[in-house]
Amino acid sequence: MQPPTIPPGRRLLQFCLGLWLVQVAWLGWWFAPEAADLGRRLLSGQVGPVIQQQDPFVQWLASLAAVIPPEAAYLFADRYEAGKDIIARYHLYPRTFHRFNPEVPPSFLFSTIARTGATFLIIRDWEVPPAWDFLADGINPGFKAVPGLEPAWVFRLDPRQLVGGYYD
Amino acid sequence: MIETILGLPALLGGLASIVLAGYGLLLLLPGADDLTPAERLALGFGLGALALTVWMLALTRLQVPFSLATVAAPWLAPLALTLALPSRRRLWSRDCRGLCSWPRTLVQTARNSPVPALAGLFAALIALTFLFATLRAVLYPIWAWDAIATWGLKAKVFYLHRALYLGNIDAHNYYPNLVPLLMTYLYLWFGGVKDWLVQGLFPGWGACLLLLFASFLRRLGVSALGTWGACAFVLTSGATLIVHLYIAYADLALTFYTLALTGLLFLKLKNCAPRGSLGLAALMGAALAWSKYEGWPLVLIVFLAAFLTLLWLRPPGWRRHFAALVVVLGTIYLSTLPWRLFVRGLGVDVGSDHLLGFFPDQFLLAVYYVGLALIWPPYFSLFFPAVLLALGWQWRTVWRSPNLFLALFLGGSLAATILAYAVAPTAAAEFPLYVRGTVDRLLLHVVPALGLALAAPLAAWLPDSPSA
Repeated sequence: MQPPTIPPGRRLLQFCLGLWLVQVAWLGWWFAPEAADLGRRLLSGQVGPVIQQQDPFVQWLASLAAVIPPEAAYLFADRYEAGKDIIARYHLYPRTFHRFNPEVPPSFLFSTIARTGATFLIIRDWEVPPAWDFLADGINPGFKAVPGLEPAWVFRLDPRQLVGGYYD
Repeated sequence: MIETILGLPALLGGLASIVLAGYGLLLLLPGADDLTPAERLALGFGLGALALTVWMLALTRLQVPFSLATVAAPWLAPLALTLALPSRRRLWSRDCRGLCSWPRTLVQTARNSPVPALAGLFAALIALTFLFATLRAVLYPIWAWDAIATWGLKAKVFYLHRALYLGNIDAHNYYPNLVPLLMTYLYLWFGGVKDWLVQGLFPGWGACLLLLFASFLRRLGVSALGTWGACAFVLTSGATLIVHLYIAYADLALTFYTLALTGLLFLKLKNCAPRGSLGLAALMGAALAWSKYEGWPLVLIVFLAAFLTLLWLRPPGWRRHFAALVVVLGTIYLSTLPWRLFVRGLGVDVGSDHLLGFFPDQFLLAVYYVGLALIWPPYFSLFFPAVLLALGWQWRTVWRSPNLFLALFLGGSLAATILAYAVAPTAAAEFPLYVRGTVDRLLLHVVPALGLALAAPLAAWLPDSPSA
């Protein structure tokens, strides 16, 4: 008696099925770290808002929110690649956000302040170049450092007292 | 943990209200009784999302603040009307019975399939994936880049202002707002910006997507086992679709509406569509254009593929079909006008920077990157090779059958993706990163719709057992 023949289409289907199941196993390995973290958090009950509250950056933003009034606008000096500016904007809303590229010359800072009416300047993580010394020395009366928000620099701005007086 | 558990009833209530808003409207459309209960549920969700969010746009124009009463209450009227009509009341009771007996039906179908173990494996894979995605969605706060930068931010802003307010944010303000408004609607249910619970929207949407995909496959003659297998295959081929089940991006919505529009037109071309499918296609197309900036180009690609298929095949009455499709496309275009006029009224720039030039170097690189993305395991793994294999298997007939529509849609969407990269205003050094960060999403939009190409080989190789 002849064994039953399997149609070629079925054979191809079986091959694809086998290949896909191998891929599913690989997918399990791919998601394993996330699944493990999920399991840990479920067991410890540290989920939802607790995850945000544990994040040092979000904690820092909460202390920043206590300083900046909700109706104020602020300049956030950071490179967008870091992805921190979008988190700051999200958590600090309804405060009006303006991102500011720290690689521009100081004169651009003055024009941006004038254009946006920002009353706070936040410099998150930046090696300040010599041209920006007027911030560190506190010689410009338009910039008043806000203590207690280190390691970032936070300045309260008073646009009426801003003094430029140089060309770059 | 307690806050999350206490918020779950509000989440479920919010999701149910979206379905009910759409379900009420759907039952009032001609041909609603020709849909299966699964189709009514899935399309009801899609239609509810469209209706609620367009209404929220209208409320903003009327300067009426968002609240549960102003946003959700008007949709009780069509629901009440359907309960008053005896023919629609019958559908209600049939669907409620179907929903209650759903787990038993699933087990029975698995038992009756020719290979019960395989059916069980597919079902377990789907269930496990959704369990993981749902927990991952609702237990973690909003986190992915665009979720924080665009969609989640807008949802928070709209909720805090109780209106579609774009006054003090700059987050692609010209993008359509179906997803952020729907998240805002859920915040109204929660009574606050609970940005972890709101992500429960996405696994729910994914379940509707899979339900619709399965329904379309069944209409195309695929067996129960084949349908389960195809659903599990589409869901777990690569990581992209799974990840989009738990991040607050608009791409899952776009994927859902692309499947709905493409599937309904494909069924129409194959003469196995439910009655009133063109009206539904118009609504799904409108939702597609309202989901994301890429929505309208996708609508055009789908209709171009349908027009070319009709012109090539010239089936009986093709001129009438052609004219009907032109009307549907025109209706979809008209549906985009309220948003276009709204943003024009605000003086918002509409992203014309994407059309300022063509960069040949980027074009060549895009051909390479998109080609690579089609087979890159973490993206879609075996999916695109399987679709190409399925179309290749039908190569003798594909030119003489409505399957040509899917082949043209595949070609058109890939060409559009490559072209979009060729005109993207990106610095040369950043271009590879830009492609890597976006190509999986652009391909995801067409994945379930192209999964319908698997129907023909599955129907041929895995015929339904008489009892299934």
